[in-house]
Amino acid sequence: MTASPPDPGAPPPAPVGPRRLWPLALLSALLVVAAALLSFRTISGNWPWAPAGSAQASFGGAFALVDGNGRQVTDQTFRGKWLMVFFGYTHCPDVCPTTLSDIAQALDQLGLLASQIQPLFVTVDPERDDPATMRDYTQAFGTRILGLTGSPAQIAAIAKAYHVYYAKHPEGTGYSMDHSAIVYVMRPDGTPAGFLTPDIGASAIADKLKAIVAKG
Amino acid sequence: MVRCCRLLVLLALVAVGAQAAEEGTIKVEKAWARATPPAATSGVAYLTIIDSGKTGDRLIGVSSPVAGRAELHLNLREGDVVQMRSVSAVEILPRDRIEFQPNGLHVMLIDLHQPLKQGDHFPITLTFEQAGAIESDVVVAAAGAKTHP
Repeated sequence: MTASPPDPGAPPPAPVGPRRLWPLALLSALLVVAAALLSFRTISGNWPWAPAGSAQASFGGAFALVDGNGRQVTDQTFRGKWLMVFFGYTHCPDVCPTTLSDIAQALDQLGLLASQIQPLFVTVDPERDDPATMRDYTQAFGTRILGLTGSPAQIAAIAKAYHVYYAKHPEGTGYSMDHSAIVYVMRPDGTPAGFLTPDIGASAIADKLKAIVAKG
Repeated sequence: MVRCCRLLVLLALVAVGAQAAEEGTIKVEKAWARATPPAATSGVAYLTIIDSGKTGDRLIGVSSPVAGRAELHLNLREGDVVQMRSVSAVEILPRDRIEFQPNGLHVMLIDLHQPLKQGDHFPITLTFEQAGAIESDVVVAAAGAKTHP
């Protein structure tokens, strides 16, 4: 008996080569691109300008907080108004009053347009800033700015939505709060319109606001 | 930013071979504070220190009867994050002029006994290593004021 060699006539298994797979690969690639476009659209809404690689493209969204009279407010409460959303705390006697003062002055400079804009000053120190404290503090800068506080969980939620960093820094027997100092501008439908840094001064804030609102 | 860096450099400097300061070379001018909301427990004061001497000095303490305690604070900005830090001393170079101002170096008044009202005056005492204690009159400006009234 002789060993028979492998039968050369038997057909090898069908090759799964690139030529066979390319339609599938193309389809997958198209799906990935479509999904990416769709999710960008969902995240950014009517985002008119693309800050290069900025996570801030997705800032904003639903929030629930408490106003100076202890009333619950949400993002829905302010639909129909342009919002300026910024963060700070009342045990901040230097930077925060400067910001509130500049924003109040900027709105004064905007005349009638100011009636369409609601600035919201959100505390990052809910432990010490109760509703009455927020009300008293903001009233020192006029009637335009609304001070908002909430439970630590509510503050954490809005800070996350706006990509705001905040952290307690022990100082002697007390503490100060490190926090992002950015003013976010939201459209009357709640979608993000832009942001500005408050240290540019009242007139520059007014100019930026005017430009953002004019773009619609 | 440049101002901040300069302050940091000043703060980081170590007084080398401290010599006796000349008589009366340190002046404290234009001290002012911001009015505070009714419930506020902390306030802020700003001032300008002018050293006309040749040896420099060091600001090592601050106090005021309007507050339980007062501290020297500096605001730092890192990216979009602001951080308020207490500093133990402020180095004053010969012929130096140091302006405490909003968003920078300031005196933090902690545990205010009562709110600071616009138009009021109160004393503040700065203690220098060489020049000793110098008392200055602080005028209270509006809550959102940015300069000496």
